[in-house]
Amino acid sequence: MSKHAPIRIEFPRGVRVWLFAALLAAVAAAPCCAQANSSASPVVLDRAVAVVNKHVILASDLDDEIRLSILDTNNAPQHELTRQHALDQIISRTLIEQQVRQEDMPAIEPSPEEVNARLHEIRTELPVCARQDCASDAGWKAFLRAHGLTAERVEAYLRYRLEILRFIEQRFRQGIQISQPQIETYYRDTLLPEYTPGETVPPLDQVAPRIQEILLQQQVDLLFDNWLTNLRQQGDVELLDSELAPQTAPATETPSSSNARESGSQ
Amino acid sequence: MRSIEFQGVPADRLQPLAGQLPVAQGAPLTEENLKRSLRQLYATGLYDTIEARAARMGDGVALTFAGTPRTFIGTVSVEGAAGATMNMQLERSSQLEAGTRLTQAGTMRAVEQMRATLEQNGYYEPVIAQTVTPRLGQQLADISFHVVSGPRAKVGKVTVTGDSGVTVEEFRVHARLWKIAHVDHDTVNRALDGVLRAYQKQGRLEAEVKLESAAYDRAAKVVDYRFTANRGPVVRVEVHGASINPERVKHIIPIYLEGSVDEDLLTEGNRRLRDYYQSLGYFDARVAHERQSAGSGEVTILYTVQLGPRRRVEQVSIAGNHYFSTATLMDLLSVHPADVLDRHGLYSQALVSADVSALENVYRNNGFSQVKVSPETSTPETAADQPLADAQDSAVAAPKTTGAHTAPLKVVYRIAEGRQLQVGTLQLEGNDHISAAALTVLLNTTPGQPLSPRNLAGDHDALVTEYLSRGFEQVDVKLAQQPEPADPGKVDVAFHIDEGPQTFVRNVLLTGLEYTRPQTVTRAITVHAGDPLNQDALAATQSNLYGFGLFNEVNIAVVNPTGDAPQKTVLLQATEARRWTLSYGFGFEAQTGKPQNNCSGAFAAGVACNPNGKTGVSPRVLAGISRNDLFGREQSVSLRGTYGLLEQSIGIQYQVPHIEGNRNLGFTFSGGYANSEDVSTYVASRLEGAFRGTENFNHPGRWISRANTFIYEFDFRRVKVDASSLQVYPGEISALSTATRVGGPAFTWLRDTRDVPLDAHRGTYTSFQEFLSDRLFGAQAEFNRIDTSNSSYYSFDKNRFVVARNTRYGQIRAFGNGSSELIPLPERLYAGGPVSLRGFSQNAAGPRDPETGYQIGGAGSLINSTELRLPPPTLPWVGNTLSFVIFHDMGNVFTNAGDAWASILRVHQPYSAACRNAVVKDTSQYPTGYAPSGADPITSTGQQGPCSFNDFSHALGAGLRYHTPVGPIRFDFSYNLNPPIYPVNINYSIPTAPGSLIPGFATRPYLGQAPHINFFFSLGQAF
Repeated sequence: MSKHAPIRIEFPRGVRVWLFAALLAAVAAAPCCAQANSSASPVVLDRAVAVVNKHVILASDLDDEIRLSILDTNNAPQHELTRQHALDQIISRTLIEQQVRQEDMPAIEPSPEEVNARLHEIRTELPVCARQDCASDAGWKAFLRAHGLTAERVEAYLRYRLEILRFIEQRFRQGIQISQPQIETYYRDTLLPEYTPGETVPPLDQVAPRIQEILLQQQVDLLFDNWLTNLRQQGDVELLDSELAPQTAPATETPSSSNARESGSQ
Repeated sequence: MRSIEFQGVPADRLQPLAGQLPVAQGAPLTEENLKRSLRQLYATGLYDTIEARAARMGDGVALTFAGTPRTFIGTVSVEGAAGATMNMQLERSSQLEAGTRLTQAGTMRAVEQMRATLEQNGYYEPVIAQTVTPRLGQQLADISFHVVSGPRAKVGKVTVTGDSGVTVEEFRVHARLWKIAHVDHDTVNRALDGVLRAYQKQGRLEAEVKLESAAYDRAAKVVDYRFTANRGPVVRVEVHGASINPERVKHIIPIYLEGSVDEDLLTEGNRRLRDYYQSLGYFDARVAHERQSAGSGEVTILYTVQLGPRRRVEQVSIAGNHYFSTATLMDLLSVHPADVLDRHGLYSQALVSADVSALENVYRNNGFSQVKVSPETSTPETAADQPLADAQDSAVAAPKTTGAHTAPLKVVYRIAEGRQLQVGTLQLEGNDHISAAALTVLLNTTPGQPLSPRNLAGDHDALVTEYLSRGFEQVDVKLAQQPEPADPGKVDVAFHIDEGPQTFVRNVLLTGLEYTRPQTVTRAITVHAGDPLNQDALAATQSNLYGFGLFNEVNIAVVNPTGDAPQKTVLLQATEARRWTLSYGFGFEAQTGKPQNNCSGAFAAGVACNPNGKTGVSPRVLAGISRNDLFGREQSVSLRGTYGLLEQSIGIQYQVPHIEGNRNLGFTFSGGYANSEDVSTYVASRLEGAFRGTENFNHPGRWISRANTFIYEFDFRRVKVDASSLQVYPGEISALSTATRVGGPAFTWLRDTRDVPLDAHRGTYTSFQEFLSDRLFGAQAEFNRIDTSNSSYYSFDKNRFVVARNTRYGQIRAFGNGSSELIPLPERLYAGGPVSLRGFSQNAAGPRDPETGYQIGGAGSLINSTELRLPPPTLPWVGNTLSFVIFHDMGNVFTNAGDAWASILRVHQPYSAACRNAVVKDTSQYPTGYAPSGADPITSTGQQGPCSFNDFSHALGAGLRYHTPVGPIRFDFSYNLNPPIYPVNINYSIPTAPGSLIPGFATRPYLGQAPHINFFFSLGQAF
């Protein structure tokens, strides 16, 4: 698999960090299975397309991922998620989820209030949603219907997303120390050049807490990025659908023929 | 949904899943149920790919789950590779495990790994062909590799870069990279080790040698090596502040052993030096090291030792303990006070920490979760930071003390026990398939008992093991503890069990039986189709198959090990052992009193015989050939021969260790011919045959402990003593040299509870043997023999000391009339030697011939040995492999069994004056030799002389034991306090006295005496 595609998560205080689209795509309730053909010839309803450490990813999971991508605040509406990209996101998310279950970290499940707050944020701030008057219940229902989603599926998606974010916070944020010299360096080398000559520059003491938060988040991003890269390298990922294989995919296990065969090598 | 169908994987494999899938016939089809069903089916591990198809069927849908079935590895075999073990090496290096999934990538990887293994062994041009043969209906495929190794490469050019300090030719010599040498798997390692060793000899412990490349030259068939070598500086180690032998420094400081220098090893050197000085009583010793570069390629590691006062551990005590007695806790301590064997006692900070942990653990495991143990050590009387000891002491002497007096050390472990927690309630949750009653009996934790973490951990494991034994491969048991609100001294315990699915055995496939009949091993297989997949049964099956002795290797694999399939196939893959076995060996015994026979021959050679034998070595050569797997069954036939100075024998044995597969019943037929010379008095030949049945008690529900073994025998033998070898007075020679048949039933009972049979520390060993020789069974000598022995072992002081004792009692009661009442010489009881009464040489105890003084055996024996086995001290060169014993042996062999018990308290030989008087003073008055007087008794062991041997002989002794993996090598030295005397009027190995009518009549009869001093060199403990 290729390297995961990064996305940006909006934090309450406006700090943007790069995370992964896999975390933000969600499983939306889809209408029941593809309609069976009226003729007697069978149609494929669903199939396995990949396996991540024994967890099967189905073709319908990719459909869900693409449908839920509408809720991603960082996805431009004109750029529809490809199936390869959707699979990449699901693989990353599955690896993270397996790690969450394995580490069994306590108290990362978000409360209903937190989930509702996030839902409210999406209904009021997501541009594509705002245009369809998602703030009203009727508009929200119409929006969901138009995108093949259900309220339950969206809520589950938000809860899961918050859970992952909290896991990342607990897993990586603790133990990171930002020193005063680091803050000063960022102020001098990064912030000050942003201001044009003559513009009023805020004093260091005023922006120091904000700089500390930015540096902290950068560290979290870096650690998380490395961690996820390792997970992907160490995990057992098998592609069952060769059409979904990215160009740069590493060699993966493919089933062998059960027929007798002979081969020689020299 | 109107119908559900499966394609790809046989329906019978998925049949157990019926009713467990979320989709069901007649129920609505939902996306969620379809997804879960697909996932569940894929998780069985039976599919490589899977999809769900639907077709309209009336007013509903016909659903089909279709996919590619997964193939698993059956057997993996490699043949054709050059080298004795190369095929097996390649099989292992392929890393293709039976039962696991077969993938193209896996087989390609296997070929590459096999190729790499071949290259390591010098084969750079191999041809590897693979054949994959599927097993129909099993989703299995057997993989066989045919290997043509090709030419074997030789060592080619060697290039060395870096600051090696040697020429390439010198490098080659150190690395043993000769141009004519073939490359093998050890070539590179040997080269690296050799060069590093050469650098280490120069003291260059920081030298680095690396292999940069090994390139094969296909045209020249050689491997060209390129190394990087940096010799580094010469490293010297100096110890300041205390004296120490330089050789000892090399043993203590690990940089010499490891051949490298890093901070971890140097710090480890600190600790070892400190431990060394602490073992000498410098308990406050402190060690630091410093690295000093002296320029010009030299580095000095300077260890500075601050010894402090030399002290002895005067007292170790425990305070504050209420729940456990002091004696119980003291047994847990490693720190101990000085005693006779240890002048300084044992103390170090590490040992104190270990003691604290041991004490806290024992309390915690009894519910005292808040226990706190605080060690208190008395401060030294002299200041710890005294000037360093004089470093000018002699090199080998222990460091001198810093003060005139050693300061005693007192260690007190103060225990604050805290509150003892008890188990409140005990609950099991989630056990749907096994009743709580069945599980509760497995638990050590019970309500009201102290809360023990160790018990809880053990109970957790017991529950998991129980579920695994019933096929619940994914069982998960979690332990929850909750303090009772009403009683803080109690904790409620709950085991939450997530059973997971139960897996059953689909079928059992046994492979690898080329010669062995399947029926032979059927009873050993305790897993059967339909049974829960029981891990214990798998292990038992493997053990049972190994127990046949027919197989070199038995592998058990479960097909699809990671899948959730409800039924799994078990693969039993056996590799048969060679059926023909040739064995040979050599051994010897060295001792005083080695039996000396053929005295007439000795006379011709000018060597005189002596009733006490001679000091010498008895070598022994053994050889045998066996045929196992006879007729494809668990039975064998073997031919074995022994040739030694004490015995020459050849015998054949047919053995069925398990009759009809019964693990508790065995049968043996043996026959052969033997010459025995282990008694000085005669050379005996024995032609014999025996049937022997053995019964063990290993099955469940047995009526007697598994420590017992019963042996049922029927023995028949013809014993004969060579008349020319007999060292008895002439009147007895005819009767004693007559060939005699002995035969009848025998029964033996063995009971063995020893912990380690070769070197027991506890337990007992008892044997009881009854043999009846009767005319009814064709015997010519009629007698009943009982021979019983009991040993027991007691250890104390943490198993350091062992007291071992052994008592043997034997008796023979002859019956019948006339000649049948005379017990043949080889059938009598004897004692003396390394595994018997060590106050005598080999079989030299007991009654002796009235004229020759040679031992003639008896009809009763009573012997007791007591031995104190001391702990091995740490000694130079041998470490703690050498230990000492002191022993006391007493007893004797008696003419009559009844004499044994009456002689227990008798330490002087009775009627010794008569013994002395039996020595002929004037040979002219003794022209015809010994004539029995009416007073001399005739017994079942023949005519007795005036000498009596009815006393208990006592011997004290000491021994050395050199411990090896196959048991100790033994040297025993004994001193017999009261050896018997006996007359020697006839000696067949000296010229007959002029005018005498008796052959061998001594020109100078004398009074003989068994020697006081004996020694024995042998293998194994005495008992």
